[in-house]
Order: sequence, then structure tokens, then C-alpha cells
Amino acid sequence: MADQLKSLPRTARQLYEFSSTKIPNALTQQELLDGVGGSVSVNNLSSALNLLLSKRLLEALQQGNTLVYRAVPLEEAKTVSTMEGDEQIVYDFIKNAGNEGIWTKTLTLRTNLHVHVVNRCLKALESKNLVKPIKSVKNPTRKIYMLYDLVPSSELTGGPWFTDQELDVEFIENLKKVVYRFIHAKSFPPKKNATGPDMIWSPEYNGFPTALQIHTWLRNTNITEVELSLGNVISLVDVLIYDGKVEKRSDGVSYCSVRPSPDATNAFTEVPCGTCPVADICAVGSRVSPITCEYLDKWLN
Amino acid sequence: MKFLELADLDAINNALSFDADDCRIHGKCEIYTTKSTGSDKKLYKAIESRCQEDMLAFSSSKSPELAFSWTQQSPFGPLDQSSSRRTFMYIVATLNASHPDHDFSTLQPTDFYKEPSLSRVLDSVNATINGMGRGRISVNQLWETVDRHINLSECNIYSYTPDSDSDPYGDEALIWSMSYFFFNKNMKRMLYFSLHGLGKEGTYQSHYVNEDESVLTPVPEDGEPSDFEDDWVANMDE
Repeated sequence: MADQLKSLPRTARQLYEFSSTKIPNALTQQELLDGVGGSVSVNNLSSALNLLLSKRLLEALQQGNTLVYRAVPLEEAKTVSTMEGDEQIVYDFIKNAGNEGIWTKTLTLRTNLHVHVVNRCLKALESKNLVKPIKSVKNPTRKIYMLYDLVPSSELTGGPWFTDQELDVEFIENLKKVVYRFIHAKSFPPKKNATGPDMIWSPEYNGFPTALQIHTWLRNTNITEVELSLGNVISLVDVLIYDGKVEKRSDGVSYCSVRPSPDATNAFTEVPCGTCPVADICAVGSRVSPITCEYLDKWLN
Repeated sequence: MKFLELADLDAINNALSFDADDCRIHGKCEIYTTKSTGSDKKLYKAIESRCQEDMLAFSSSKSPELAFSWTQQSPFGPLDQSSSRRTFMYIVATLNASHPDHDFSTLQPTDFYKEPSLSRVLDSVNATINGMGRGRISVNQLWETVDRHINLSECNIYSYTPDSDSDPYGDEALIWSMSYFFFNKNMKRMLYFSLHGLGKEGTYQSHYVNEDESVLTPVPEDGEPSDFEDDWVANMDE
């Protein structure tokens, strides 16, 4: 591999060696100059940079409004330099999309290439196993490409909650049940048959579980081999909050399960006559009567 | 699916995209033949194998009602018949051909609806076009031209209303959409007719201006490194 560098003139080689120590960071022209000792003339510098760019050992990028340069690892430079121009352009854009990948529509727009050219390049790159097509859960019909070795980000895959592009409802429900039981167990004193003030902890009690504790406990139980981050656990507990099963305490960090409220129903409010649209004309013997009422029939069954 | 180049239909297709009072209309009126391309064959294989898997899963499942409903309830007819599966595949291939940046192979037969009557579809389309078009396009001319190339009365009509995630215009301020597929089995032709209402504010281009300093974007090859000309940098997104 080092034979790529052997043929380079001194300045170019120094620039490459310096900038390759800074991968994955890119450097401005001034930073490069300083890095190799600063005693290079502008002409010398620009011809060295051009040489490195043409050999694909360096890539030029735009950071906001400034032009910056980044060294390319030798292996990659070799593969890319064997590609034809359009393929290189397409490859560059895909590479810079990282593990979010890039949509073919965006690719065509930004490379300014004709859509047939882009498709041809994608086919060629795919056959060389340099890029691969992937799917996003947010936009399942889009054709997205990324570099072959990269793992799609959790934005694309949906993280632990999705399996094969589909929401894994069973998995989520099971986890919710388990987490709820854990929170519930720690939310009330363990005394069985307790009554009155013994049924709940006193206001100073601070043993309610925090998200961090839940996360650690969950990890230790090994209920699932899927890695769940603290953020994932917080989202899960949030779902329990929206379900009305758990509430966040006023200290902002811990959770407590919600006691189901006793039935607030009352015979007078439950009877359908209260909301009946024809209650006014209802009487025994008329067309609308309690004996023939279909709302009562439904309610009584 | 092979796109048919027809001059008169092309004129209609172009007329279907215009600015209405409160939205932009983007319409498509395209006829395809069922002649399959290379990528079509791959698509058919994938869908066929998925259907076979589903059929196997249902036939071995404990509930015969489930299996029965899956095969009977598809808008394309019983899915254990290859002709029904074929119609479904043609529609997916048409969508893929018309929207090359998308891949609709994950769609299910139940994402579509079989329209029972041609006149109802025509009425609904005509109402929309006349409402928005204001004389810009003659619905009579539209259907006359279409009928010349694909006998409408012989067609089975299927409609497709995706949520904005799967809609090909989902990224473009989509307000409403209607999509129909007219399939003439005898003529082996498929008409893809769709109308999308898009919001007027903000152009598509503005999504892609990159002012974020932390993002690095590649620079086109013809830029000289020591030429700090802002022109080609600013023109990059055009």
C-alpha cells in the first residue's frame, strides 16, 4: 500500500501523512500548512493538494462556508481511484451520508447527474459490494443507500422497538408489564392486608424507582438480549404514564405506580335514560316506552 | 412494466400539473404495458415467494377462518390464484416504474381497494379537476384520449390511498391525493392515474440548503483548491 505514497513528491507526502493522523477530522488549508512546518510556497501547496486530490488520497469538503480537506485511508483511496468519475461522485455522497444513508432522490438532486447515470453508478457500486440498499421505518418506500460496512442508524431501523421494519408490539407489551411490576412493587409498602395510612409510604419516603434504577435492574434480569439504552427505558415508562398506570413524582426523577381509582359509577348516571334522545316522549303505552326500549335492552344485557 | 410513449397522452400528463388557487396540483396519467423488465422479474419473484410464505403460514395455522379470509378478502381476488397475485404484482411494478426513487415491494394487497364502478371514479376525478382546474383541462378530452389507448369499460379499477409515510410525495407538503389503477387484462395495459394536491409555501429546493457548519459535504471535482470563489460554492445546490 505504501507504494501509493512512494511516488509522491515530498510536500505532498508530508501533507498526506499529517492529515491522515487527523482522520476523521478535516483541516483547512492553513491548518495543513501549519502542520507541515509552514515553509511551503502557495504554488507548491496548491500543486501538492491537487496531486493528492487527483489520486483520491485527499478529499475536499465544504464545512459551512469554508473549504476543508480530509485524508483518505490508503485502501479506500485505491478502490475509489479505480472508479470512473461519476461513480466516484455518487460514492462520495453516499459515504458522507454516514449511517443515515441517502435517498436516491436526494442523491440525484445534489450530484446534478442524470437519474440514469445515478442508477447505473448505484448498480455498479452495489455489484462491487461497496454500497447496499436499506429501508427506513419512517419512509418504507424510499430507496436509500449507504456504505456496505455500515450499520443503519436507529432512526432508520426504529431502534429496539422494531423488528424487520415492523413495530414489535408483543415485545413492547411484555417489557411494559415487567417494568410496571417492578415499579409497583417499589411503590407501596409490602405489608399485606394493610389499611389506612399503612397502605402507602409516608411523604418523606424516597425509595421510589428512578429511570436509572429501572434501567440497571432491567439489564440485570436479562429478560431480553436486546440492548436497551436509558432513553429507551424512559420512553417505555412514558408509555406507562400515558396509559395511566404510572406517574412521575414531583421530584422529577422517580416514578410511582397509580392505584386504580374505585369505581366512580352510580346507578343514576349509568342508566341510558340520562342520555336518551327521545326521553321526553317516553311513557308507558306510547310508541317509545321503557318496555320496548332498545337502549335499555342493550344495557341490561 | 413498459411505459408507453403516446404524444396525445403526454400532452394530458403535462396539463395535469398546475398551480390552483390554494395548492399546486401534480397529476400523472401514464399507460404501461405488462411487458416485464429485468427488475420486474426480481420484484415478481420476491412478491411470489412472500405470498407463498404467507399461504403456508395461514394453512398451517389453527384458524381456518383466518386463512379463508386472507385468500378471499384481497381486492384482487383469491390470493391462492396466480392471476390475482399477478394483477397485484403489475400494480406494484407500475408504482415502481412511475416513481423510480421509491420501492413499493413492501406493499400488501390489502393496501388497495377495488372500485366497483367506473362512473363513480370518473365522477370523483372530474369533480376534483373541475373544481381545481377551472377550464385548464377538459375532462372530456382527458377521458376520450385515455379511452383511445385503453378501453376504460373493460378495465378493473383499483384505488390506492397511502398515509404520508408511504406516499411518493410525502416529503413535499402533501395535502391530499388520489391514485387509481385501471387494468385492462385483454389489452395487457395498465393506466396509472393520480392527482396530488401539494402546499404552495416553500419550494422543494429549500430543504437542501446546507448551512450547518458541522456537516461536511463533498465538493464537485472541478473546483480548484486555491480558488476561493463563492460562485461555484453557492451554485452547488442548483
